[in-house]
Amino acid sequence: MIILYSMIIIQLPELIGKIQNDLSAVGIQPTIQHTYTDPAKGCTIHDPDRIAQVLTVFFIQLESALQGRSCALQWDYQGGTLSATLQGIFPSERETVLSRTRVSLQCIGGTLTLEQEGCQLTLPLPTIPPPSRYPPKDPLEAFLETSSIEPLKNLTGNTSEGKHPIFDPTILQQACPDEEFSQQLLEDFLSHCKTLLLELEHLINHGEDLVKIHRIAHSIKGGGLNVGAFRLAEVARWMEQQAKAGKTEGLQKALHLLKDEELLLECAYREYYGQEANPPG
Amino acid sequence: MDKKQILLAEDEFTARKLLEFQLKRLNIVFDSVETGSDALEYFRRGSYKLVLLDEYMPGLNGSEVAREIRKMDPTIPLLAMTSDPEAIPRLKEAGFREVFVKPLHGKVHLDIILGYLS
Repeated sequence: MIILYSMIIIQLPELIGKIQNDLSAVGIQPTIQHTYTDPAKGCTIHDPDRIAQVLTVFFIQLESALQGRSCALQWDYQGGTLSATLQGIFPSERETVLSRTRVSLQCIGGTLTLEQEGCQLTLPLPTIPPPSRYPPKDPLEAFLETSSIEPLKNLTGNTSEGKHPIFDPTILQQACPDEEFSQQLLEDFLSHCKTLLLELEHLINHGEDLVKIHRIAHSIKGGGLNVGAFRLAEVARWMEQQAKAGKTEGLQKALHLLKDEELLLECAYREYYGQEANPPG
Repeated sequence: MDKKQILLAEDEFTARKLLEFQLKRLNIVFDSVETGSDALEYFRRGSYKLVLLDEYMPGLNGSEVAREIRKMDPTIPLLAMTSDPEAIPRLKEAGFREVFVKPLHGKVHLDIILGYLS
């Protein structure tokens, strides 16, 4: 017997309630706690990535609870839609499609709290063990190893699962269907990016003003994410974090990588729009 | 004085241009500025139904602008944008009703903005 849970965006309390009921019926008591609070209080946080993270933690916990049991859980969260299938012996078969609502999320200390429609779900954050490599790795290399950056082989799309392309044109297409506007925005971003990279080069070579470096890296990261330049944004995010932490190690290397990424982005963008690439320099 | 619908403050230009484009398509009348101090100046001179502020801006940040606006108008809805989840407690304390964590892919933020305007 299969129970299919699916929903548009997230209706977490109801979904968790149903899963808990079904698990209880077969003698499994998941250790998920949820309490009810006044939904009108506080402000609402809209953060799809963190919600996906909370759901991931939730399902990892569920999978762990299900180990050794005669049931299996499959789940996926993509583009704001969560689907989960629980297979096993259950009292009834049903399908639930729930509607879209607002979700709020808080991260305090080591706990994530997700609040929706007055229902609150609190989950401990997974602890990440400190790296135990010896000798210590170059921080940028270590970052690139663990980050979601795709090796330099694809310009647009066709990436390995979970990896980012140099340029994902669907991001701008979703945000604004006007192709002329999107192209102009990308042209402006590329031009602005070149200026910012020159400023970064000057800062890194002349005293490393970390406040300014942080601001510029933040700007490149934000712009990159907005136009679908995820790899560029990932490197900029690394530089932003280094500068925020007061560290100068790896900045020069990251700058070179940012320059390479900017050129690759330009090639990818022109390839996508069928334009001739401007020669670099 | 005519009431504009939104005051938008965002220093990062791709985010600002995208939001401007999206608001125009929804026929929402707005003023758009690049700094916190400009946002305060526009707010003092103008009249708005909603204020949408980026947190990380040169000079005054979004929280500081929000506190000043709260003194002038304690009821106006304040909406924040940030890419830093660590800023969320500060934003809540400053009186923001909604916090959008960037990048703003999709259209959820527009639905919420429209909800406030209606």
